[in-house]
Order: sequence, then C-alpha cells, then structure tokens
Amino acid sequence: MTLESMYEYLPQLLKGLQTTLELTFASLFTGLILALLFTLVLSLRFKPLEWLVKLQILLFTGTPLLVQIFLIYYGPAQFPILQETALWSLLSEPWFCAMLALALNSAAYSTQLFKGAIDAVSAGEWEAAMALGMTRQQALTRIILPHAIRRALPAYGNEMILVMKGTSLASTITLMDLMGYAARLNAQTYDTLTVFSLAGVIYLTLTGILTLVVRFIERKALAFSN
Amino acid sequence: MGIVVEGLSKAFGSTQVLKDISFNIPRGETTVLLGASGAGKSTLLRMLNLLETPDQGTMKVADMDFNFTRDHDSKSLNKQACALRRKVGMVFQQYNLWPHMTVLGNLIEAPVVQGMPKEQATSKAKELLERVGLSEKADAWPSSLSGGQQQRVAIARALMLSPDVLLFDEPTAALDPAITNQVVEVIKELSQSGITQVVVTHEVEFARKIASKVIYLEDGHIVEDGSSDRFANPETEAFRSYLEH
Repeated sequence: MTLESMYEYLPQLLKGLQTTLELTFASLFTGLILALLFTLVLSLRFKPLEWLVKLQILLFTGTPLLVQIFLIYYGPAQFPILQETALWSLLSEPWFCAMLALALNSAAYSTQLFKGAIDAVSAGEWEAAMALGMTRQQALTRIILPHAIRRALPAYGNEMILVMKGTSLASTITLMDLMGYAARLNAQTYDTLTVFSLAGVIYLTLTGILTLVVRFIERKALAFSN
Repeated sequence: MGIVVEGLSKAFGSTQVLKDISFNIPRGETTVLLGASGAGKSTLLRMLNLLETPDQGTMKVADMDFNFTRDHDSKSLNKQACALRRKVGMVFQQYNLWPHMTVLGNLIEAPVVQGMPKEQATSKAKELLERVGLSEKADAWPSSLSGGQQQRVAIARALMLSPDVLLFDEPTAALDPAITNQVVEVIKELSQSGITQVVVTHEVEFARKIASKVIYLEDGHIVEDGSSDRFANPETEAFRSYLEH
C-alpha cells in the first residue's frame, strides 16, 4: 500500500462517484415520495390500499436488499410478455432496477419511521385541529405530518446513509458505481487492501458530508423544540 | 341563539356517563360546569362541539340542530361536526398548541386552510394577540412561553374563526393559582363582547370569578342549574356541600 498507487487509483475510483451519487439521490427522492404517500394511506386508513402498503413493508423490510436488486433486475426477463411492453426499456436498465430496489426498500423503512413519528404526536394536537373545524385529512397533511417529519429527521438521516451505502450493491448487476470501479481495479491489480481501503475512505467522506448536512437541516427544522 | 340541550345521554361501554341531560344557556352568558372529577362535565362539554357523539337526545348549538340516535350516519355527522366547530371554539387544559409552528402560525393555520386570505388572517391574529396582551410574542415558539401565555395564545387561536360559542375544558388546571387571573381577565373581557362561553372547572374560586350561570353535575346528572347567585344561596344540599369543601 504505497502513496503512489493511491494517487494512481483515486481518479479511477472517482469515475464511479457520479453514479453512486445519482443513484443515492434518485432513490432517496423516489423513496421519500413513496414513503409520504404510504404514510398517508396508513394514517387515513384507506382500506384496500392499507393492506398493500403493509404487504410492501413486510416484503421489503423482511428480505435482503441484494435479493430485491436481483429479483427486480433478473426477474422480469423470465416473462417474455413484459419484454414487449414500454416498461421493458426501463426494466432492462441496471441503473433503473437498482434505483427502484433502493427506493422501494427505503420507502418501506421510511414509512415505518414516519408512521411511528405520527403516532407519537400527542392526541391533543389532533384534537385542537379538529376543534378548529379541520377535517382529519387537513389536520394530517397541514399539521401532524409536518410536525412528525421534523421529529423523524434524525432517524431519517440514518436512513439516507444506509441508502448511500446500499448503492454499493448495484455493482453486482453490472453497474459501474464507486464499488464497481473498485472491483474492476482490484481484478486488474490484485492490490486489494489499497483499493478497498480507498473506496472505504471515499464512502466515509460521503457519510461525513451527509451527516453534517442533515445536522444543519435538523438545527433549522427542530429549532422549535429548544 | 344560545345552547339548548334536551335529553342527552352517553355511555362508554357499560358505564353511563351522562343521563338525560337537559339545560338551556342563553346567548352571551358565561356558564360554569362544576363537579367532581368523573361527574361527566368534560364529556358534556366535548359534546357541544361533537368531539364526543351523544347516544341520544337533541342539541341546538350556534343555530345548528342535532338529533342523536344510536344508529347515526357517521359520515354526514362528521361533515356537520366540521361546520359546527367553525362556530364553536375550544380551549383545552393542556393548551394543545402546535409546537412546530410559531404563535402567529398557530393562529392563522385553521382560517387559512378554510379559505381566509393570509393577509387578512395575519392582521386578525395580530389584533387578537394584542387583545390577550401578547402582541410581542407573534414570532415566538410556543415552548418559549409560560403556561399562562400559552393558554392565552390558545384562546386567541380559538377566537380566530369568530365563534358564537367558546368552550373551555379545565383551562386553569395546569396553571399556577397566580397565573389563573390572566385567564380570568380574558374570559371576563370576552363575556362583555356577547360571546357565549361554557367553562368546565372544578375550582370553585375560579368559577365564582367568571360565572354568570352555573350548572353543577354529580354522577352524570344535573343537580343544580341556576344563575351565579347560587354560589351564595345553593338550592340543593349537594351543591352546598360541594362549595364548602
């Protein structure tokens, strides 16, 4: 493990950085939108949908992310019928499949997080909203959810980091992210210790930056609780 | 246009909390519902804005008529409840302010959701904050205020929709005796504005200061119902002994 080799490997690994970041933010964004919808469905008890969301949570929190990525990427190819639909252009794309798996996985965990935070908001806050003539739906979307999300922010920060690290599994379906380049470099040089240490340091740096950003947002969003 | 209640009953499971309650509150009165805890006074108050649904009876509040039967249509009742609550404000024991919104945000939220333009809501909120003596707290977080201040914010919030009736559920139970006077002042000032107020409390001293009419409940029944003179001359032995202890 020499300094020269590190200098040599670093630019090669950083070629994957963009894919890692794109994958992280695209799946977090999609996952967040889904999680908010799922949370509304659970909180307002939309009957048939409620069961679907619960099933989704059961499946995606109950199985490994790697299994989910494999199933979403390799699964549809088993159904020739799918290959004729417009969806196929997306489902045959490893980037899209990895993003979808990460997003669905993150949505399942985030929904649990948000629902828990909503249940922790005191009944009095609901009652105050109802007593002012708001409907349950208005109370939820205008008051309870905004409060709950602020409370859930520290835990959601961890979820963001988990998704970022989870993107490394996308390299198993041919995606050339940070981990993809690290694996290729390792195969070329057999300099395993240097290559993966370097990859680890890059992930650690990303985690650090993300943590700082979340802390900053937390300070703003939770200013009311001091 | 006060409150008329006829034959209201409510049971939770097999416990009958209110039995055949009837009373009449003329417009503009400040009525105190007194009684020991468990007498049913809070449940009765919460029926007046339909936070609780009576099992039986009829009710006329803020010009809206309700007739309750055991098999009511909960969907249409929910709709009516929303309309009723816009005319009947409520103040809670624990204030129930929304902690993640500023004082001003707490005040304007409900009117804005219901279609009042934001500028109009804001100027109304500032007027009301001045009326309860908290104009400099508009941008403060609720958690930075004292209990008495929070309760006054809650009263201002309830007044934002210009209600005909204002309900108070033990508004001073969480407050210092010294701070209670702040709430007394606000309630007295409001009673001069012609709004109908109903206040649940178990504090006799507080009740004496604000009441123009008193209803005393025991065990789900109305025992005494009369003007505030009843504090000096109770008609029933039960109310007399309640006042004495």
